Amino acid sequence: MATATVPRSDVYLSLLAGRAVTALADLSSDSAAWNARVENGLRDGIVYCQAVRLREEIVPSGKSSDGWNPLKRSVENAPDTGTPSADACAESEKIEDLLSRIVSREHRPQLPELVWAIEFFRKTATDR
Amino acid sequence: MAGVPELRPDDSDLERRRFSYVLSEALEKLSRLNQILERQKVFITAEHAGDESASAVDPLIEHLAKHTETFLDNSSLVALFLRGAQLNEAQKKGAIAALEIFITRILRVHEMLLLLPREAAKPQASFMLRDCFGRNDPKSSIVLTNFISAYEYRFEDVLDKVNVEQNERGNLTQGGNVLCQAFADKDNPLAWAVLAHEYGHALDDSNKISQGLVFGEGPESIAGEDLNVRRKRDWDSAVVAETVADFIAAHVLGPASLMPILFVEMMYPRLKKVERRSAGHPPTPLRVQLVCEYLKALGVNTVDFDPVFEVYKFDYARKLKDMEEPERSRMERWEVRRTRFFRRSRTR
Repeated sequence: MATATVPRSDVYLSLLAGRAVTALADLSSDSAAWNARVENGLRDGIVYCQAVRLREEIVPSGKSSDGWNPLKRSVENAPDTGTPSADACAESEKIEDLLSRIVSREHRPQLPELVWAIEFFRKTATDR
Repeated sequence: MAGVPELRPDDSDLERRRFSYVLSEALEKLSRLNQILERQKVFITAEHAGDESASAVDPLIEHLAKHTETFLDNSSLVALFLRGAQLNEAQKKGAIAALEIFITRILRVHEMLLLLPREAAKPQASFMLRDCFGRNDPKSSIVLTNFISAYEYRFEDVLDKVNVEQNERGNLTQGGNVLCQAFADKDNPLAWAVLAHEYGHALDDSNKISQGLVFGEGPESIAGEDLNVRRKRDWDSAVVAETVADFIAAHVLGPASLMPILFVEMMYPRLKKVERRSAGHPPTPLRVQLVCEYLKALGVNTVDFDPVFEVYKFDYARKLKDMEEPERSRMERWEVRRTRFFRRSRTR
């Protein structure tokens, strides 16, 4: 019942984004730091990026994901809403690539890269 | 705090204070939501004894628990941030992002309360209004809403929120005064201050205060009036009505009447777009300024609340800067127009 009006993916995606943010913040204090939480968080971030693009394919930008939605209509005064834009899709590919290289230990991330990735997760996961 | 707030340089102290306010607001809402959900679970269990089927409440409780756990993974980072430790940019952004994602989910669960059986507002909220405004003033009912900052005062406005067509509402124009309160705040005295603003609307309507200010002694509607003139007068009337309601709430509760509005706004990750704003509400920084000036004229000192106003201003400027174009420019133009309106009104 809880997912009847909000897509199930939306409910769980934000958990993935939250875990990815934690992993990226952990890495920023020591880019060589590595533990299960960091690795799992980065993998969650990769899945999140793929899901963001999938969501965009299913529901083009600006279109409601579930047609008539009484819940959304009843809260239409809430701050910004929206599905990911084409920009977010393109950005998600780049972020996924970055995370994949970090997970495979091919790349040691720089601070600006981590800030960029965190901002991506913050923006896309707080779009309502 | 007039007009468009200037963007201030990074201020770690303000940032830290903003974070602590938002965190406290989020935890308070989380705690209240958990209480509501656990209570609902007891009701459901009692009604369906022996029934093993899952209820609507369990996924919501589980969802909140998972997000709480994910947020708590950042405990060390959050503690360092609050203590003012030296953090790199990614750590700062990480702490803020973790909190914003957490809050967004809390707000989502609050919206889901729409799916649960209704609970009633605490009678203490009505007692508070009666004590503040006297027993002879218009009677109002308080109902709970699933929107965390949906405080309306007319039944028609509540229906408007769910897009009931105008023709269906035709017979409901005498719905009376219905003050909406966020479900999570049903027993939160701090949020009752906002009810005072809505009650201010009821008093304004019954005493025709803002109507008198805008239309004078003349009729509210003039036959054959130019549509643009009419729209302008309606807009003026709506803006003045909101300000009158703010003043009425401030008259009985002082600067505290603004606190729930500021805390709820700080909790949202971004500003509302112009088209999503109520037609009548002036920009919040301007509302704060007008209420402070009003209280000053009454001889009420607001200095104890200045730290919150300062943090709110910081938060607002940050979110305005984060808005993408052309939204930001629209927002700035909107703010300038409303600020000018009040400047002109003051000189008149």
